[in-house]
Amino acid sequence: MDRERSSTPHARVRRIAVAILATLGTVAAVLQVLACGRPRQPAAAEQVLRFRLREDPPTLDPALANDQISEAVVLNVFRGLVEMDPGTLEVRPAVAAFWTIAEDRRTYTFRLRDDALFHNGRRVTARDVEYSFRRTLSKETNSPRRFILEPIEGAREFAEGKSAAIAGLTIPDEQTIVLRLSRPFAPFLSQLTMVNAALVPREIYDDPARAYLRAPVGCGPFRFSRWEQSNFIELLAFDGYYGGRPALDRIQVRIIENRESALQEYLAGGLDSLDEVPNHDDALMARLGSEVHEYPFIGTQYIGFNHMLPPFKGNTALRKAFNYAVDKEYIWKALGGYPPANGIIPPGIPGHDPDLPGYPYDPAKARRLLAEAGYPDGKGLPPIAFWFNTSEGIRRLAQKIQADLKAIGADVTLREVDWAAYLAAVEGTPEQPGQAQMFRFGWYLDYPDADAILRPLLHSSNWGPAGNYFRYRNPRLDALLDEALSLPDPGARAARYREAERIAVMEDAAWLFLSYYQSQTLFKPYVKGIVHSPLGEFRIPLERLRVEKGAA
Amino acid sequence: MTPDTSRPAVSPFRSRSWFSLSLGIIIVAVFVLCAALAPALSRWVGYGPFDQVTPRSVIPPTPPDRDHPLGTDSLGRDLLVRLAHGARISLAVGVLAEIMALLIGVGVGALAGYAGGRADALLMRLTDLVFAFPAPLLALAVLAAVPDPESAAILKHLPQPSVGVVFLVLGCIGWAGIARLVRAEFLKIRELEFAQAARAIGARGARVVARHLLPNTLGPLVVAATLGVGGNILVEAWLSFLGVGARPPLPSWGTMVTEGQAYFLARPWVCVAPGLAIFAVVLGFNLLGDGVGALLDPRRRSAPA
Repeated sequence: MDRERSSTPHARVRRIAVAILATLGTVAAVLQVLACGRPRQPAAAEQVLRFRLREDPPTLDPALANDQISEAVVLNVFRGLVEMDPGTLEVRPAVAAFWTIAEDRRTYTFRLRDDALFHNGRRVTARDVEYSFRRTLSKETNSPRRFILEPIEGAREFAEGKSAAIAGLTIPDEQTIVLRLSRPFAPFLSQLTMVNAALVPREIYDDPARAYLRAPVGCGPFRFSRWEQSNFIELLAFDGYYGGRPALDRIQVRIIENRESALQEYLAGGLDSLDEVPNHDDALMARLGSEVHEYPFIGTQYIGFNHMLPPFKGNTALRKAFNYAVDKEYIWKALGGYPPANGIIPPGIPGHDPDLPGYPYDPAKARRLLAEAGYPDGKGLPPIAFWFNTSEGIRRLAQKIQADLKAIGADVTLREVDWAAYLAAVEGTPEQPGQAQMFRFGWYLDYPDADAILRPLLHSSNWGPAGNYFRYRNPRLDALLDEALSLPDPGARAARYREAERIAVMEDAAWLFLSYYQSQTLFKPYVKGIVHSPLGEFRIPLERLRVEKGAA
Repeated sequence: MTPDTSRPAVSPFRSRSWFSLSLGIIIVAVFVLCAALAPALSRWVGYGPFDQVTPRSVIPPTPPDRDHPLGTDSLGRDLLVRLAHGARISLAVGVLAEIMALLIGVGVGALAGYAGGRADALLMRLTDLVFAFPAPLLALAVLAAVPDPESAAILKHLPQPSVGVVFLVLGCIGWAGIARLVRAEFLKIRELEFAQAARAIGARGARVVARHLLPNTLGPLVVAATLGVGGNILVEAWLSFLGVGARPPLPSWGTMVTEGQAYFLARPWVCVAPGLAIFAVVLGFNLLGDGVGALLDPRRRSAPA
C-alpha cells in the first residue's frame, strides 16, 4: 500500500475539478455556514475531539477499507477478535477474551467475551465471527484484503465459490471459535488485527439496499451518528463498549481538503488535531512548539530500479552508485522529507537493523562506482526515465534526486504522470516489465511484521504486478523469507529478516533506499492521553484520549 | 476671464494610446530580450535553471541577496535565472500557438467570408462550436486527457513534449476568434468597389483573396494576434500552474508559482516573482495590442475627446 497514494488525492482530473470548483466551493462554504447543516457546537461539559480528514472516506465498510482515510473512521466503530496495541504493536485481546494456539501451530481457539455488544444492543457471538469472515472472503464483497483470512484452511476454496463453507472454521459453542490454518503461518494473528477482519452484525449487513454503507454498525468504542458528505462525520461514545465507555463523548471528523484551510482552521481553534504540520513555515513551527508531534511510521520510501531493463539490469555497481549519489539527509532536512533510510525494514518492526551501513551520501564514491559500472562520468549511459506520480512533495523530491544524479554525471529525465499512468508504467504485465526504469514508490506495512514489506515487494513469488515490480530475484532471499514464516521464535525470525535485508540492501542494492516515513501531527495542548503509534496518525486510540480544557 | 474655448482639441485618447503603446513595446522588448539572453546569462553567472546554488547547510528558499537578486526557490535554484529561462517557454508557446491559430483562423475565415452560402454556414457553425467552450477549460480538458505527453506517439518527438502539447492545443483552440474576425472583415470588404472591380476584370477567387481582401484585414489581425500571444502566455501559465502544462524541472512561470505556493506566507518571493512576471508580460502584450489597434484604426485615431 502506497502512503502517498492513500494520503493525498493527486489524480490530475481530481485536481482540475478542484480548481474549477474552487470558486463554487467558496460560495458553498459560505452558504453552509449560514445554513443549518453545520456541525453541532460543543456543549460546555461535553468532551469533543475534532480532527481533520482530507477527503471523504472511500468506504465505511470494514471489509472494504483499504486506505488510511477509511480506517481513520472505521477503526473507531469496529472491533475484531484481536487488536493491535497501537503503541507497542503487540497483539492483544479484543472481542476474544483469550485464545490458545495448539502444538501444531495451525489451530487457533478463540474464546469470546460475554459482554461485547454491537451498537444495536445485541450480544456478539461466534456466529457473528463466522458471518463476518465469510463476508470478507466472499466473491460478492470483493474485499481488497481478502488475503488476511486466506491462511485459514478452505478459505480460498470458499472465496472462489468451490465450497459452501470454510473448512477450517468451526464453532463448538456460541462463545468459541476454532480456526485451523492450512500451514503454520506466524503473522496470522497480526493479520487478524486488521480492520477487514472486524465483526459485523448479520441483521444489518445482510441488507440488499446496503444501508450499512452510510450507517455502519460495529462493536467498537464509538458508534456512528451521521455523515454529511464533504463536510463532517460524527461519532458518539458507545455506552455499551466492552472496554468501558470512552472519555470522549463525541468525535467530529471534519473533511477539509485544502491543507492551508485546514491549518487556518486548526490555528483558529476549529480543530483539536491536524494530520499535517506547516513544516515550510519555520516561524509558525516554532510558535506551535510542543503541539507538533513527530514519530516513526512503519513505512519506507524508495526509488525502484527495473531489474529487467538496461541500464540497471545486472549492474549492481550502477545501482550502488545511484544510492551513494543522493543526499538523503538534505532531502529530510531541507525539503520537508523523511529521515534517511539505511535499509528496508523501518524502525519499530522486529528485524529493523540500526547497524546496517546502508548508503550514506558520498558523491565521490558514487562517481567511482559509476565508472566501475561502465559509465565513467556518465558517458555511454542510455536514456533513463525516472517516473513518479503527481504530487507537490514528490515533485520536489524528484527534482532534487535528478540534480544529485546529474552532479555525478548521470542524466535522468523526469516523467511526472497521474496515478493510473504511473502504475501502468511501473507494474507492467505478468510477462512484460513496465517501461519505467526508475520510479519513486512508498510502502507502508499492512501489519507490523517484516514479512509485510519484504515478501510483497522482493520475494520472487510476487514477481511482476503482484508487488515485485522491480523484477528482483534472489533465491537466497526467497529461502530466508520462507524459512522465517514457519519459525515460532520471534528472535529467530527477526534474524532471518535482518539477513534477507542485508542481501537486498548491501549485496544487491535492489532499490535506491530513501527514507523511513514519519507521522507528523498537530495536537492542541489540552488533548491528553496521546499514544504515538508507528501505525500512523489515525491509529491513535481515540478511546484513550481526553480533552482537558482548563477548568477556568 | 472667460474659459479658453479656442484651444485645439488634442485627443487625450490619442496621447494615452501612445503611452500604452510605448509601455507595451518596452515590456515586450524586455521580455523578448530576457528570453534571448537567458543562455548567455547562465554562462555568465555559471549556473543554469536546474542547478542548486545554495550550500548544503542552508535550507532554501533563501531570500534575495547580492548574488541572487530574486532569491532562490525551494530547491535552492536561482529564481532570476529560472525566470529568464522560463521566458523562453512562455515566448515560444505564446508565439507558436498564435501562428498556428492564425494559419487555421485565416484559412477558415477567408474561405467562409469569401465563399459565403453553405460553406460559410458550415464553417461558422464549426467556429461557434469551438467558441462555445471557454478556451482555457477546453485546453484543460484536452490536456487532462493526455496524462503522459512523453509517451504519446505524435508528441514524443517534440523537443519538450509537455510544452509542445500545450502549444498544439492552444493553437487548435485559439483560431475561432481569428476566423470570425477575418470573415467579418471579408464580408465588409468584399462588396467594396475595389474588390468588385477586381472580380469584374476577371480575377479569380484565390487572387482576390490574397491580393485584395487579406491585405485589408491585416490591421485587425495584427491586433488580434498580439492580444492572442498575451492570452496564450496567460493560459500556458495557468495550465502549468495546475500541473498539466510544462513538467518539472522546466522553469515555466506557472509551474514556478505552484512550487512557491506552499511558501506563500513564509517566503513570498518564491511565487510572487514569477507571478509578477506573468502579470507584466500579459499586460505588456495587451497594451501593445491596444496601442497598435488604436494606431491602425482610423476611426479611433480621429476620435474626438
